Amino acid sequence: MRSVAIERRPVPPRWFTVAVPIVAVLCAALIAAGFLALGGYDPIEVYRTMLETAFGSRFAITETLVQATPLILTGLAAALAFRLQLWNIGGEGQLYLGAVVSSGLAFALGDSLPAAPAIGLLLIAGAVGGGLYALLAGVPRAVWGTDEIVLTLMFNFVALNLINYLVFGSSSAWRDPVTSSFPQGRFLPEVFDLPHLLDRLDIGVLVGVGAGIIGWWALRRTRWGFEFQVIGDSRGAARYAGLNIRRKIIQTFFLSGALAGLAGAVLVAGPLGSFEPRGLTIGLGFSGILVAAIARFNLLAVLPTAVFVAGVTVSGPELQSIGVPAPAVVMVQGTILLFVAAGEFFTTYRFKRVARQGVEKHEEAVAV
Amino acid sequence: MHIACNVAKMAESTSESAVEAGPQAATGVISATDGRPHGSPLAAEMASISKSFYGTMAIDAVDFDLRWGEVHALLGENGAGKTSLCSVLAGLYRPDDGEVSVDGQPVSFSSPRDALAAGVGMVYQEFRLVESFTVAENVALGDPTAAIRLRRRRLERKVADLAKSFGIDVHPGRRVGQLSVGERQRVEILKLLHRDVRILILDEPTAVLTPQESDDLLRTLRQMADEGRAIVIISHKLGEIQSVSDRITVLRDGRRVGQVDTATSDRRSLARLMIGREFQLPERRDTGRSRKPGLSVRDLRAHSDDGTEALRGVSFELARGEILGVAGVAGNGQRELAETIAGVRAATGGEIVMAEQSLDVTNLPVVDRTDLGLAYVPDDRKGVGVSPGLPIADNLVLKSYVHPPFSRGPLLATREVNAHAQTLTERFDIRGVRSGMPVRLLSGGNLQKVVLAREISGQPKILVASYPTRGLDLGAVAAVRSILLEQAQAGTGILLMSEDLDELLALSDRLIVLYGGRVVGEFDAHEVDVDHIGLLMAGHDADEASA
Amino acid sequence: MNDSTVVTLIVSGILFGTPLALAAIGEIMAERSGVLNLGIEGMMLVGAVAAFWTSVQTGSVWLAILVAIAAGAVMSAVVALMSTTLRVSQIVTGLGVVLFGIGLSSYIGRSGDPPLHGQATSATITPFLDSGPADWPVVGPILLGHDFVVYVTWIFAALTSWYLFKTRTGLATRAVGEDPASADAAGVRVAAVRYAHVLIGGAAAGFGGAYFTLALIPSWQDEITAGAGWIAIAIVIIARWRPWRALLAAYVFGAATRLGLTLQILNVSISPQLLSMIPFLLAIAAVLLSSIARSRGGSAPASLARPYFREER
Repeated sequence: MRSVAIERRPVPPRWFTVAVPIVAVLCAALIAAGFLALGGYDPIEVYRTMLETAFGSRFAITETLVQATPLILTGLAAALAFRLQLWNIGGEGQLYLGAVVSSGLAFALGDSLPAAPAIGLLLIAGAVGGGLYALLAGVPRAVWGTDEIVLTLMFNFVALNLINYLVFGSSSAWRDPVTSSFPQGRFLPEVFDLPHLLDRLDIGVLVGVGAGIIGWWALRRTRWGFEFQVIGDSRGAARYAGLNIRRKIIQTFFLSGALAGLAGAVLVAGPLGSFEPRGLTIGLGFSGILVAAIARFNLLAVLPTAVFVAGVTVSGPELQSIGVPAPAVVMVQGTILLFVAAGEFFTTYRFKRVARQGVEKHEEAVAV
Repeated sequence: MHIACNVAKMAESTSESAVEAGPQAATGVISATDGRPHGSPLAAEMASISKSFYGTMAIDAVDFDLRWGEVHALLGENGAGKTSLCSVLAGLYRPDDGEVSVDGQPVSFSSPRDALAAGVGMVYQEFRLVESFTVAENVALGDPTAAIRLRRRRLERKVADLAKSFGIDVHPGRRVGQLSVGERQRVEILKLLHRDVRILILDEPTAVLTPQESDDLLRTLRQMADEGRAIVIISHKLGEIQSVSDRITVLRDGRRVGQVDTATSDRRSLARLMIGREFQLPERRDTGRSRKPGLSVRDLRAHSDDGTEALRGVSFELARGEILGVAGVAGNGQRELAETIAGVRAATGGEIVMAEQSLDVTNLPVVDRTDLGLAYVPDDRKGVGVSPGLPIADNLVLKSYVHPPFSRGPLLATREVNAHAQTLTERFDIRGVRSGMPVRLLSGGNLQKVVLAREISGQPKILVASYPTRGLDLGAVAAVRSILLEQAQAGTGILLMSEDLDELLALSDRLIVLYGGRVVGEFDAHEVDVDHIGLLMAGHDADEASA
Repeated sequence: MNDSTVVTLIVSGILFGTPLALAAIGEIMAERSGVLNLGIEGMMLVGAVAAFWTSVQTGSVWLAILVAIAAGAVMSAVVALMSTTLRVSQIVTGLGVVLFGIGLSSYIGRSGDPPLHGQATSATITPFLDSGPADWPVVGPILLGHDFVVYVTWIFAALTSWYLFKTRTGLATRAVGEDPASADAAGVRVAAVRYAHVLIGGAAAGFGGAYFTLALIPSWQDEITAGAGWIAIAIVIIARWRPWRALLAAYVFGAATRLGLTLQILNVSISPQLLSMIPFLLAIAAVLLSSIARSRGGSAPASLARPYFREER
């Protein structure tokens, strides 16, 4: 017979909803520290290295932001879709397709355009590529109610094999024609290089931040955003109000895919400079979901969260040099995701005491 | 400490005894009919029970006792705590404080399972039946004495036998999802009898029945009590309580305010106990209707969610300023009728015409119908009527946000939206609102006011109100009724659906009866024969009824 | 295409479909109780690496299998806790488990001196019969020439099918997946049912993962399951939550994975990456068809992936 029960919390205070993910991350960090210690590494050393590599110098910060750029976009992609309970796990694949389409356009256009329109078209192509690919899952979901989790996941694998095929399995336009012994991706014409801001940081980060701010503002201030919020909150109320839910689902899938596709374009035109599968398949889609979950699907919160997660990722190579294997980072990511998910428990429920036979008990609920 | 029916012993001694209706041997919980004594003359005793939700007290130090062989009524208005108290006894909720004993033994149920094992079972207002399972499967569900192997035919035969022995009419092989409301209630009762429940609790059981079905049920309950069981019936209907119960306990605002022997009780004092003061609900005063044409519905057809035909040619006329009540047992097409007229559900035939402008709106989208002056208050206020996570301001423009002044082009004009919310909150006296707070935190009555405020603020010509007072406490019921009456006065034609025949009679000018997706009767509210309506509600032919 | 090619294809289908079947049928058990366990891929990977490591270290196949099953069960205990007790998002939980599983398995794969990557082991799963009845035409290789895991899978399908549809406990389980509130009111222990079934699913997934490293590809490499866990989830939907259908679908997918080799035999040369796409394209087509022809043969448990909390008001 327990003397404590749980009940639903009416509304969590604002500071609470910010604190819970932070505490979750700290808990995950502690657990990870435990694992590290078990593996024979010094957790403090590890964390110090991570902080230094992420934020320890101007170069470190710009490197972190370089990593964060595509992550902001995939994070926004996931957050947007998840808010409508559309489980778009296909960010990976949509990013790849964005890279394929945008670089394909670049190869086709060559040097024929000046930089500004060239880059503009490149980004648009990336967004459209990713968006259309997402519709392959979005339309069935909207029209037949097909399970989008399975669809988007399968499409990830298809896209993965596609980009590998383009470079390693064939002599397509995406393969670098120069080196034939060891295949690699083709370089984009220089005109498509994203202009740099500082060190390796290019304007891609502005694209990401801009998308986040615009998206956040649009959800609160536009009619489209209002409908989006109602549909995300209550399908019943949306139907009652005569909102076109099917159309919104399709539009949201497109936008979500477009954001991921944009990430792909920003990668090939920015830090990669070429259509290089090995530089694309670094799990940005899943990391984007991680970012979205920590940010509790708030578009504005995705921005700092992406920087944080990027900071964790960017220290990977450094850590390897002190002997911590690369997969450890993935383990940490998984742990963070689990703790963040678990943290939702504390924002939704609280504890209260209940009666036990023959024992005097308080009557108020005890808030946690 | 539980009282556990010695279930294992039962299973051993009579291996297929799962369905035998005879008395069971269990520690203390024994029927009087087999001659063996009870552990105590009290079937159950609840002492100083308290329970709160979200920090508000639902029940506050309530005492309640139940004798074997009695029908004990729990009276109170919506929100008085009747359901919560019984849910504690049935093991669904754990009390924050207080003690419960069954048949003289203290118990502490941590789940409905424990309560069932102790012989306590409850039939809730929303039935707890798995729709995709058959009747027999639902009856067998969770029964610890059932055999491991499910043998369908044998199970169905047993359930049929059990049903017959109690005079309950239901077919064990049918899927619950296809049953009518009355039939489902019978399945719920059958479930409990199958588990040999000695203490039966029923929560507002006659709310979903026709007058005749109600009489049958009450008679069955009386019979079960006479056979030695203890029955608790929760209700807010004074008439039927007085006809069937031995004692009445009255709850108000979570506290017990009185307990009387039914024989010596009178309605007025009961009502006063229940409400706390002299109270009169607003009623329709005949004020000479305008007779201006409002809504014409001709041969309307529509499907329900599972694809069956819910509306099979509904026709009626609704005048401006008139309140037309729709009587009928839930499940005969009321919800589909409301949704089809409002535009939330597609019509498959027939037409809906806004008579004043002679405009056929049958295939118009919701937005257009709203613009033409057709408003809809749905029966599910929390799940459909509002967007629960959004603030009140957003909810008040849920349909009108596309129009200026609430939006300028693609942008929302938040200042106007908020000002609008402020105005309506004051005008309709909506309480409990804090800026930016999700609207689901409002009480039922205030939530309904939000819905009404939104629907009415556009001066609609026609208002479809679907069960608008369901689940509200009397103060809120009065407020809603006033609002509806005012609107009718102002010239709105109101189509009112309610399961409370008294309410329909009190508010409507005319009544139609809906059965099986058709209108089977039409009456002027002042010349009505309740029995006649009851028969129509149950599907008896109009001719047959007057025979 | 001659007889023996067809037979080879079927046998490959059975072999490579076995881990899929184990994971899918296990997931059916979990989903029938209302819990969506997306973490299968992670559990299979951890099961695979754990089994291989144990096999290398101890030389015992049985121990390796047990460790894999235990690993899967432990990981699914996390899923059970988060979904049933904490009642949080099952989607995010599943993804977290997958990420963790991918990381953990790769981590373990790199550990040890020398690392697990390059290792080989002789403690593998082998067929019962090497010759004799196993050589009979057609029937031999398809029915008789398998290792015990294949037969266990058949028994698993039979048991779960009987359990879910013909027993009282199975009825209670399905009720929990359809309408936990009603099941609760009827006295079913909702939380216990969910925990039990999720654990069974995790154990099965771990077992399936072990089959990769102990039978199919007796070695270890990163992400050796190559999406098998995700295909298993697709199979659950395609099979409409019915164990025998899942078995069949798994074998079809197993064959699809090996289609490449068959095509090579037929001298059709297609790039390996395109061949790798086949199972996934197949899954997409099957899931699409399945949802267009909806409700033929059953639909998802009505309360799938929805947390249950009793004191709702």
